[in-house]
Amino acid sequence: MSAARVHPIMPTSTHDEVAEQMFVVALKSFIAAEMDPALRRLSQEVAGTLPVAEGESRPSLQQLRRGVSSSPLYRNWISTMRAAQELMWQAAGDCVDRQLDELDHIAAAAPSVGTVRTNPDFVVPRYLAATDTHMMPGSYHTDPTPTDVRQGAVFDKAAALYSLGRQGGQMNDMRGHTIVAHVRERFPDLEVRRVLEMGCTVGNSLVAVARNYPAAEVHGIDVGAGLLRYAHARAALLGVPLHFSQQNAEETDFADGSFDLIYSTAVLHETSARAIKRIFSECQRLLRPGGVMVHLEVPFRAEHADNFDMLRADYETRYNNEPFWIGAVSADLAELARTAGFEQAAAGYQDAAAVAPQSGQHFAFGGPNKGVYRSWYVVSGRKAVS
Amino acid sequence: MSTAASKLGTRLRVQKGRRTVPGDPRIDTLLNMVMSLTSEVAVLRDRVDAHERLAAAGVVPAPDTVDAYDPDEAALKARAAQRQRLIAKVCRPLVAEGSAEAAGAAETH
Repeated sequence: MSAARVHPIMPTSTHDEVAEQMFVVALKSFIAAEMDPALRRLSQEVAGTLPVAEGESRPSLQQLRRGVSSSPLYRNWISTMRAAQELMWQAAGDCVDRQLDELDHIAAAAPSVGTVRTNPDFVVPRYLAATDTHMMPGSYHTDPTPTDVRQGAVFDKAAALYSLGRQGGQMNDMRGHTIVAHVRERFPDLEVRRVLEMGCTVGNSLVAVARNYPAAEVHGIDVGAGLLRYAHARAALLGVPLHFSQQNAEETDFADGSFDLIYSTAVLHETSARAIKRIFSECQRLLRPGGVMVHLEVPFRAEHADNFDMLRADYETRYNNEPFWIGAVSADLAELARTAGFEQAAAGYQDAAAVAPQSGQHFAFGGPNKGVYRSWYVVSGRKAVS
Repeated sequence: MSTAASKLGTRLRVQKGRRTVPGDPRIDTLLNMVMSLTSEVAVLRDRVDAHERLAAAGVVPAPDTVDAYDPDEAALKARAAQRQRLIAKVCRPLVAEGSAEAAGAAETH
């Protein structure tokens, strides 16, 4: 079944693979519907017994973690959450491995649209090399061979499964549309001729952005060669000319002033405190005067979080291999953008756009957090004109 | 498995930097195994469902007809309900434990 592909290189699923994938979705839904509320109640109860420092609204995460750490519910919640995540990667990995030779052939036969440039001597930054990010075996950058597309295919398949279609269906492109919505809301006069996405993975967002700026030259960088080979083939088969290269966002080989718009989506929380500053500085260097930087992040901020939210953030950090999650959701991103030299620097919740707005439509920035997949947290700023 | 994927073997099966859950690590391992086993039961149930629906339609269930079977809306709905029931049954002790614990914590103050 599932013979119809959402795009020509999306891995297909057999009858049994669909059953396996649907189980992962159902297990994640069960955790959200049944286990999260139980742990939320427990975390409130435990927090009520803990001291709160002056000026704070809740106990520290360290105290809270210590308070719940012996609880069977807390431990089982971590194990079940992680089991669901690992089953997701296993289901996607097995599905891709069954058809990898075919996917490699599809990639090799893709039309010659756009470009891809990999670098066999590329050094993966330590914050990504140290652990396999969000428990994906092999992470973004470990390829079985120097020419295959496995990690890209696994990522594309699992990402569609992870968000249960709520990030723009199987194309998984809501974040790209939201970037365009943000730019049109905050910088409606921006002329976009050259675009760069940092940490573009398989190009889900980049295809959506490129289709909104059809005359622009559009580039994407990431750390994984297999990821980029897949991204290039995917875009080429969709008829969208994109230029991919394997580079570190902290230090790229593009010339000064190369771009009008540089953005990332859900990348900052996978870097480090030092790397965020270097990435913002690199954006400042790469933008032409008047150019715009936009970084979209998870719709979650430590200052707005309750006790359960903090345990959830702690899970992502410690058990889902997102070591900088709490660091990123606690950082003052607007201040970091100002420090890097940006004008009009601001951070806030941006209404999510399933489809980028055309003239007259608005997606608000700076309003309330409407929740996961309805809002994103965005920081943006403009390079001085002179 | 394709030749490319087999070359890295365990590197693409085991995550680098996987942290241990508080408590006896064997409990975490066991829960992980239970979830994997439950996943296999869910796959088997869907496969049995395909057999039954094919047979009811007068088609001989065989590996290729089952693999090619495309469930309609009614079948998808029935499968989703079955899957939810299975997960609720297997995971019930995890939630029941939590409810009692939360209630117990509430009673202490």
